[in-house]
Amino acid sequence: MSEPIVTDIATAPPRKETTPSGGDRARRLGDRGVVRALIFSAIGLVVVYFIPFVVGGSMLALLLNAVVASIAVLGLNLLFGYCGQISIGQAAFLGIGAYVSAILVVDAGWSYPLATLVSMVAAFVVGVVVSIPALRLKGLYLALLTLAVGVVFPSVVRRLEHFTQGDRGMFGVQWRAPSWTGLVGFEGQLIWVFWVAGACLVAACLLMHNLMSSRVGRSLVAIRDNEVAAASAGIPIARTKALAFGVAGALGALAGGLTAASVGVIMPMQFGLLQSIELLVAVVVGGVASIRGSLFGGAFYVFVPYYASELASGELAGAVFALAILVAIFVAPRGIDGLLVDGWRRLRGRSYDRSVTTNAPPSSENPSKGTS
Amino acid sequence: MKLRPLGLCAATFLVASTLTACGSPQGGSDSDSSAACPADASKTVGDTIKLGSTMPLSGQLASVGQNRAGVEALVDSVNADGGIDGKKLELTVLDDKGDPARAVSNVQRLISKEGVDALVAVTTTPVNLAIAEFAVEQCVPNLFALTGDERFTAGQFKGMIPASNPYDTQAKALIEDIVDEHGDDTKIGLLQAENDSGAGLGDSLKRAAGEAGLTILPAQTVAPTDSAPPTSQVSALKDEADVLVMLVSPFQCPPALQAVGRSGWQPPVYTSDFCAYPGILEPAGDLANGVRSVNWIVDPTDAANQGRDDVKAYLSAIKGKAPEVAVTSFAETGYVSAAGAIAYIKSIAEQGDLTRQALFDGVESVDGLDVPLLFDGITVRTSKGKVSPWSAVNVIEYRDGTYSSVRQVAVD
Repeated sequence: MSEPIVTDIATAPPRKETTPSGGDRARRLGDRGVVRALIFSAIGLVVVYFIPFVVGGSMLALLLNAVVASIAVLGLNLLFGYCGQISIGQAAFLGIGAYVSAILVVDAGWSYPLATLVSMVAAFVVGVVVSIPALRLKGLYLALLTLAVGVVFPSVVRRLEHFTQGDRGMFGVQWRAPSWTGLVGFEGQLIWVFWVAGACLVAACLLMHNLMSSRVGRSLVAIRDNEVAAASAGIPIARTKALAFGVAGALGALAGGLTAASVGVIMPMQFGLLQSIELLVAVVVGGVASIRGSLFGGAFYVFVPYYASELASGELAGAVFALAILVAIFVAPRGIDGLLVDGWRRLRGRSYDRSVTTNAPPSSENPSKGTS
Repeated sequence: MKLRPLGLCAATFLVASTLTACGSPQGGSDSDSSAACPADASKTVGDTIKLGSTMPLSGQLASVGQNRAGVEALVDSVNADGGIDGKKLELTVLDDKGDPARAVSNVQRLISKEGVDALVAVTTTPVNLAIAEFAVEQCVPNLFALTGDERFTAGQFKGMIPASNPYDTQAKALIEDIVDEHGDDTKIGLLQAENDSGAGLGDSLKRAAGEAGLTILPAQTVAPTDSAPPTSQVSALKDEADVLVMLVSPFQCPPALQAVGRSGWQPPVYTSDFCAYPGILEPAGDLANGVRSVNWIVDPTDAANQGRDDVKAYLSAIKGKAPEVAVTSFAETGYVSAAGAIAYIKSIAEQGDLTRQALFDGVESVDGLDVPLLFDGITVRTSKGKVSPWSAVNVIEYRDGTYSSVRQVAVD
C-alpha cells in the first residue's frame, strides 16, 4: 500500500530537486532552484518595467488584461492543476477582490495597496470556507458546489446594493500613479497599473514555484493523484485543501483588485459564470499544473477573443474563439506549455519521457502530472 | 544557503507593496479639470473625417451591436452624397463584447492609432464610463453615445452627447402618462432586469413615482440573460399592482408579456425604450397591443410616416444591411446616433475651421439641432446643461406591428 504513495510523492513537482534522498546533492540542487527562480523573477521584473517603453496604447491595455488574467489563472491552476480540485467559481473571487478593494478605496478612503491586501485576505477566508463542504465532494459534485459559488456571487452583489451600487456598478476606482513616477493622465495610470500588475504576477509565480517546491506542494500533488493514499501517508487533507482553496481565492482577489484599478468600472456581470468557465478553459489550454501554462492561459484568455473578433465579424467571432479552443485542445492536449516543451525537447534531440503523461491522463480527478 | 520559500515570497510581496504604497487613489473622474488638449487636436481635419466606435458585436450583448448596421448605412449614404464639405467619412467599429476593459483598449487604438476625430454611438453605460476619461484627456468628442445613465447628464464628462434618453426623462414621461390615464392612487408593479440599465431605470422610476405620490411595489427582478417567461414574478405582482412597468432587456419583453397573458392578468403595461420597437414586441402577438413606452424616434414602417423624406432615406440606406427585426430597433438607433453626430459635425464645419478641438468644445453649445427620424417637435440641445440633449420625448402605444404617439413630454 505504501509503495505507490512514495512513488507518487517522489515524482511530484519539482521532482528531483526536492526528493528527500540524495542528501547534500539535493540541497545543492534545491539552492540552485531558488537561485534560478530569483534570476527568472529579476528578469521578469526587468521585462515588466521595459514593456511600456516598447509597447503603448491599446496593446499595453491588452497586455495588462493578460497579466491580470494570468494571476487569476495561476490561482485556479494551483487548485485545479496541482491539487485536482475543479472550480467553476473563480470569477467570484475576482469579484470579491474588485468589490472589497473598490468599497474600501472609494467609500472608506483606504490606500489601494492596503485595500487589495485586505480583499485578498477576505477571499482567502471565503476560499477556506468553500473548502469545508469540498472535503466531502469530488468531481462533478465539487464542480456543482463551486458553480453555486460562481452563480451566487452576482446576486450577493446585487443584494448588497447599499455598498456595491448593485447593477449600476461602481465607478471611479482608479489607482493613480504616484507623483514620483512622473506618470500623468490616463496612459500614465495604465503604465503604473501595468507595472504593479506585472510585479504582482512575478511575485505570484515565485510564490507558486516555492509553494510547489515545498512539502505543501508535494502534499497538493499527492492529494490530486490519490487522496486516500495521501491521507494514509499522513498528509492533512483538510488543511491542505483549505490552503489550496484559500490561496487560489487570494490570487483571484488580487486579479480582481487589479481589474478594478485598471478599468475603473466594476459591475456584477463582469464576474459571472461565463468568466469562471473561460478562466477554466484558459487553465486547460495554457497548460494544467504549470506556472508557464498559466501565463499562456492568461494570454489565450485575452488575445484569442480579441483577434477572433478582428478576423470575424459579430457572432462569428464567438465561433472562431470556440474553434480556437478545439484546435488548441486537439493540437496541444497538454496545453500550450506542453506543446512548447515537447517542441523544445525535440529541437534538442531528446526523446520525451512519455511515462509522465501515460501514467496520468488529464481529467478532473487527475489533470496532469507535469509541472514546470 | 537555503532560502525559506515562503519567507522569500513574503519579502517579495513586501517590496512590491512598499514600492506601490505611495499610490494615491482618487475616487471619481475629474474630467473637468483635464489639462489642455493635445497639440494635434487643433489641426484642421484632412480630406477624411475619421469616426470610430466600440460596441458589443459579439457575446451576450451582441444584439445591441446591431447598431453598427445603422451607423454604417448612414456613413455610406453620406459618402455617396459627397461627404461633409467634400470630406469623406471613414468609420472604424471595434468589438468590445460589452467588456469595459476591452473597450478601453479599443478606444486607445481608435484614438492613438487610427486617429479618429470623433467617437460615435459608443454603446452601453459601463463602456462609456470606462472610456470617458481617456476621450476627454485626448479631446475626442464622444457623440451620441448610447447610454441613458444619469451620470452622463450631470455635466461630469466634457465633449459628450448621450443619444439615449436619460432614465430620469423616461421615468418622468411614463409616470406622467400613468397619472393621467389611471389616476394618482395607482399601484405600480415593477419587473426589472438585474443589470445597470434595469437598476438605473428602476431608481429613476421610483424617484418620479415618489414625486407624483404613486406607490411602487417591491421590484421583481429577472436575470439579465434569462429568456424564460417570468411567471413567478408576474404572479407576485398581479394581486396588488394596478399597472405593470417592465424595465427589462429587449429580448425579455415578449416572454414577460406571455407570462402576463398566461396569468390571466390584463394590466396596462409600460416598458422602457428598450422594448419600444415593433421588431421587439411583434413576437408577443396580440399580447403586445396597447403596451405603452417612450421613444423619440418614429416607426419607419408605419404607413403614416412613409411620406417623410428622412424615413425614405433611412429605409433606402438600411436595405439589405440589417436583419428585418433590427430595421425598426437597434439599426435605427445606430442610424439616428450617427445622423445626430453628422448633423453636429456639419454644424461645426459651417462655423469655420473643422478641428477635433472645435468638435470637442462645441458639444456644450448645441441648440436646435435637427436630427432625422425624430418625432416632430424634438431637437437636440446641450446648451441647457445638465438635462437630456433631446428637447422632448414621446409616449407611444404599440398596436398591430406599429406604434403611434400618445403624448409628447417636454424635457426641461
